[in-house]
Amino acid sequence: MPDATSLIPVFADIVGADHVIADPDRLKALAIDGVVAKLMVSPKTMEETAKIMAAAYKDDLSVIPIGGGTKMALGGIPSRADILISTKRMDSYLDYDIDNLTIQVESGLTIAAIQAKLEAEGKGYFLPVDPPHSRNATVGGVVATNDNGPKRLLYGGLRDNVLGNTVVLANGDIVRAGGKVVKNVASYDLTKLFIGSLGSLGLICRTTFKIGLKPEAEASLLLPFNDLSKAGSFLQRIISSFYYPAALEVMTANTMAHRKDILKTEGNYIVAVFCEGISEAVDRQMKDLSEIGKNEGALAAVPLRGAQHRDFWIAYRDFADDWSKTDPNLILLKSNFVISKHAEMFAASEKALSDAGLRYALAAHAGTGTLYTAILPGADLESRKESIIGEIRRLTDMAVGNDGNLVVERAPFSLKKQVDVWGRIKSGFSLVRGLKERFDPTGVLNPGRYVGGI
Amino acid sequence: MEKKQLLQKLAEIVGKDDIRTSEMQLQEYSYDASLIKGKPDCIVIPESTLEVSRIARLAHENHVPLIVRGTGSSLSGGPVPVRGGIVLLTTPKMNRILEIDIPNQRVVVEPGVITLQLKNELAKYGYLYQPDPASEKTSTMGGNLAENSGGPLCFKYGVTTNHILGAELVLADGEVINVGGKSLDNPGLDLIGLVTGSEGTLAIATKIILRIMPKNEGVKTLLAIFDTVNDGANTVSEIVKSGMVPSTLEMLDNLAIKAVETFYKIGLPTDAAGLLLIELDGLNDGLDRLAGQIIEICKKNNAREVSLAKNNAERDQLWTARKGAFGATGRLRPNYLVNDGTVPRTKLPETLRRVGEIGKKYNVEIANVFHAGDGNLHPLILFDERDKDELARVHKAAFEILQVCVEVGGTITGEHGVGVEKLGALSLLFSPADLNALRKIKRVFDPDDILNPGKLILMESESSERKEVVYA
Amino acid sequence: MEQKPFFGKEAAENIYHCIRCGLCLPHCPVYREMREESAGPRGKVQISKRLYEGDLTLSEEIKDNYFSTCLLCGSCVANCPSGVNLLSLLQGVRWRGVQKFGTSWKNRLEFKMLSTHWMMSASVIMAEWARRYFGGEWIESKIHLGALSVDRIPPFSEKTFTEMVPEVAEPPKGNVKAKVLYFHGCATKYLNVGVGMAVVEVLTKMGVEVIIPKEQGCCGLPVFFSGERKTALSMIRNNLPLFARDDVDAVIIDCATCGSSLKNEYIHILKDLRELGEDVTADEIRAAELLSSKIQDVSLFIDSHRDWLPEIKPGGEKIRVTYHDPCHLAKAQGVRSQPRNILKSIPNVEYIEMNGADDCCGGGGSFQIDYPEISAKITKRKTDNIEATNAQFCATGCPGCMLTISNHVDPAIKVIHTVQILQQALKRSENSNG
Repeated sequence: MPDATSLIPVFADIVGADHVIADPDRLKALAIDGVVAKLMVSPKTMEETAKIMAAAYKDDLSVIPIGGGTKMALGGIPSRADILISTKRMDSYLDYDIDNLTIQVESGLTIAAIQAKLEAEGKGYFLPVDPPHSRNATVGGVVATNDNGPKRLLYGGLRDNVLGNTVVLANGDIVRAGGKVVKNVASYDLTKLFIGSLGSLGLICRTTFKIGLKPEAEASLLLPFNDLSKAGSFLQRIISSFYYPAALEVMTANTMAHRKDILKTEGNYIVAVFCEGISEAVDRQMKDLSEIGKNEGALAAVPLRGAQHRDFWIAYRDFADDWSKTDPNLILLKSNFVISKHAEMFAASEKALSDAGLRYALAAHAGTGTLYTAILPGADLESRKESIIGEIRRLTDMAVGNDGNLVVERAPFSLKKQVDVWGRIKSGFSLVRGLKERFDPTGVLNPGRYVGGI
Repeated sequence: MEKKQLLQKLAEIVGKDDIRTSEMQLQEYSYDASLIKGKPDCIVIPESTLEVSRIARLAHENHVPLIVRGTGSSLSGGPVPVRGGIVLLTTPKMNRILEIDIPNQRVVVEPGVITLQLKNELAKYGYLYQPDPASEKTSTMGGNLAENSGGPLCFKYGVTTNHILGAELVLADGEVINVGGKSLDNPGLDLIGLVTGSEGTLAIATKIILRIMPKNEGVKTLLAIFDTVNDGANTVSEIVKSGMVPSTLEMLDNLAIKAVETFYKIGLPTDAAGLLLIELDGLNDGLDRLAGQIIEICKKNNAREVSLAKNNAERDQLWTARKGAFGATGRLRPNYLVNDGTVPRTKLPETLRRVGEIGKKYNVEIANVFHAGDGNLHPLILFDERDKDELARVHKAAFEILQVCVEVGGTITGEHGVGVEKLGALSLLFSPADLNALRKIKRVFDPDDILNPGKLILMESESSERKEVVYA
Repeated sequence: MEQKPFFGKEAAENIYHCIRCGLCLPHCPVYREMREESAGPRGKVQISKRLYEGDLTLSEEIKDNYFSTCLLCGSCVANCPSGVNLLSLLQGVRWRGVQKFGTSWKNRLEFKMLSTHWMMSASVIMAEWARRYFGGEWIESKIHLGALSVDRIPPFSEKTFTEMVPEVAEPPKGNVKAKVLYFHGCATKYLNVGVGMAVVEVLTKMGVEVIIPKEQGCCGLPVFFSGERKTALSMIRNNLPLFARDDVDAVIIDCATCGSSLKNEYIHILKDLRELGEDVTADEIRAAELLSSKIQDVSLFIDSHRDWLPEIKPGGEKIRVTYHDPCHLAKAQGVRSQPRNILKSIPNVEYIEMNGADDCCGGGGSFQIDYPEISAKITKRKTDNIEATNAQFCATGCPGCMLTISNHVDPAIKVIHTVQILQQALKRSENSNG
């Protein structure tokens, strides 16, 4: 098998020498679970990407896509890493059709950049997508990892908001899936196949999103509780009502400890509600939910508006990034489960971790049944490793028992080796493997990192 | 295997009382609501996943096509056994609502459950299953899954795929698997997303997990009458541009209004060029203001008349009329061919104009009923099947309309599916590489082409493009 | 043997207007139970098409299917957006089916009884005798009344209605506001004499002169829908000269089925037979058209002249009443609001609408006798809905529905004709005067 570096001239021809990086030191900084790639190539266009992939395919070299680099910790340890393809230079707006409320963008654009541009447009628009890593997450990364945020409750997830993906397959073929119209049942829904596929079937170069007009009004409500079960029953009551908050969250008091400037409330648990829509309905929800909250045992009901409100949600989405700065050994788990179990899962996680004497911070999208568990071992990682692994298994069982699963989104290498980061393999895996074999017959795309080690 | 032997084996699985083989019965499963025809070899009525699995294994071993059917209201030939085979009928025995899980806002149903029946059951709990295909009175949940059905409410709430979260599937070789689940965002490939809308060509859904939502506090239904279709289409664009998200934006043109009024007699002006049905829902607060804003926009765009439904009875009447619109055109001419190309909303006026021109060019009458909010057209090309010359012109006109939809940035089918009718139009939309990628999916799920063969995409890769044209 | 044509041109047009949308299916009570295409209207229209075009040979299975899986309720006709009338097609196929494969002896006997007054009287006596001496399971096993339980069938009247009323009933105070003919069906004549008495009493109190031709016979619907079109023709020919009269304001009918027969089916069957070369004259068709224009269900007539009714004084015991829409009234004749208006206008009636008020009761004439299991399921839905209202009375406008419902519903709930409730209210009001 030829070495990737032998392709440097070929790649330089395609993208220009400046955009082929072979410097081991720079590449070392981009190591994935300690695995260092031989090259990083940064194409400017989809066609360049296709040529790079075709060349790599011919030489049986593995390809790992990288965007903002925010999720390189996700997935299994790569079995090979020849070429990193950075999407960062693919940052154009292709079909910017504001009037039809759809935009097609290249995958290297950050969500934040798109939001800023849309907000400045006419009456103000937005992408109904609010993933974590709010500053650096790129379109490609967010789509490939199906990374949804709190507002999934009102707007749906990526599978509901992505209308099309154009993808380069392992052999360099360009495949267009979906389109720009909201309703589209022309043949199989390939668009969805690529969402959350972690680059294992192809490299996403272009994505078409639904966009929305900025709502008339938006505000949020913070409701501190001392008693988790009371917070839980408040949330379940709102979930089952005709109120339609955009997000319904609950977190531990320390989750946003790095942002005391933003979150000043007391209480052991903070419930955060995001309301947006027509102004009368926002006012009504802010008022009614405050009252219901207090009746259900909230210590207070603190409204947030304007900059305060906006900053709060960004900081909230990035809580794990903030914690990882003070604790590089942070282990981040994301579990999903049926929505009524949000309080139970939250309480059980808390109990298990505190019983084990571990530090932690929790945040849950209560309305959509997602829990982020950040375990904060600090310097005790090695001594507490077995205990942490035990807790991960236990939490996985619990999520699976509630019809969900658990993904280890980030973990130090030494720990990662010992757990299945994708949780429990469920039935139908033979199809997943079959699809992988059809789309990437030689196994060159992101090898080893996806579900089941494919 | 001889047919007799096959029937014997099937009888061992479901019992001989649940097999239909008479000529009358075969004829009764040779059609759907499209123009496609094809006769099965037998009809089997399974009652459990196990039976379906055993039938699939038998079909697989003997290379016999297997076609699942609900009530046969498909508009693209979905359940028509164009290559013969076994029809699995879900409606008689696999028609139970298995679980209504209110705290988790999910229901689990068998494929033969009728959409409206589910909705009526959920209404008792104050819950809704949002997708509302016009055929909801008769369509089954299995059919909705297979076709990824749309409907008026999809403008706000999304199509069927946005509400199906998981399923129990029987694969082509009889293996039973579960995909997705009651929870959201399960890690791994979105297999349920892939199977939804696959027109029965990838797997057989034996249980379906759906998302349900609490009923809205308030609903307002408005009816606006226009003297030109353009005014109506512009109104739609302006409403959407204003930032409002009505739950539905439905339009009928003059011919469709006439058809509907002939049957339903609800007092629609039969001289109007266009009718727009708009619905808002949400909390009561602010709904009146939005309705007022919409009335203003309608008037600004020359609406002749705008009215607000006064009560549920009036609202129901309007919707019954809208949902019966396809059938009502049967009063104007015996047959219609409808397609469902979808275009970006701003291209609606242009597309409608070109549809009109195509009608003139081929001398066929076209009634239009469409989901204006999401640009989903339904040109109903009227004809009489006894007039063969007219029928030929109808097919040409239909194809040209799809060409226009693709030209303006849309797609060839928004909700009815490719089926058999639009196989020939796939190449308008997809490159050979795209088509190959689609075939990869089929090969993974059903390498021997047992499940609903001849639909959605043909497997014969090299010559298929030419063959597909033959189908057009 | 060459197949004779099934339908006349006008009836055949229905075949081509079916776009197979399936919107008839949820409205078909038989399909709702069986959920197979052969049970529903769309399948029958499609089979009719293939028969008509010669792509399919009429088999005994098809004949049986057309008999066994249709209640003749007309729900499909009323709900077909394209306006397809399956009943027209059904008659043709049943007719040819019977010609080709014959009628069962049971049906033959039934029709003979219906078509001759004597046989009907004889059967009354026979049934009375049987009921008195046997009853219960034994008799059921002998005379096969299917879903009906024999001991809950009301007794036949000792005297027929015809014997109990004069040929012309005049209003008490002479001032005649209208003159009508009254077509009472067989049920009123032999079984529900009280309904007939109520109709005459209420109409005359309204100032209406009621003519009740003694020679009237069965409307013929059960017969021509059974494929015996020739027999039916003789029945139509008996009734037409009696009722197709220009000099009356209306022809009043108390039976939903007879009403739909005289209003809709006579014209159709005569036209169809004429188109198919049978001996039917243009005059007969014109007479049928005249008759059709005069037909008014009794509730329709009363409701449109409610100001003629004597005032009903408030007071008396409150009664809870619900209303069941007979298929042949609501769907075939569009009479829905009128009986409700009447009930709601009665001061001591508390009216409660039931769920699925226009769902079929499952009777369908002899359907419940021949296909008891399906029939019973359909009826169960109906009686559940009635019982859920907690009503004391279930009013309706069809003797068939009355028979079926009263046979299965909680016996505490009385099933009676709408006009009987009005009759009682008028009586009470008068008495409170006195």
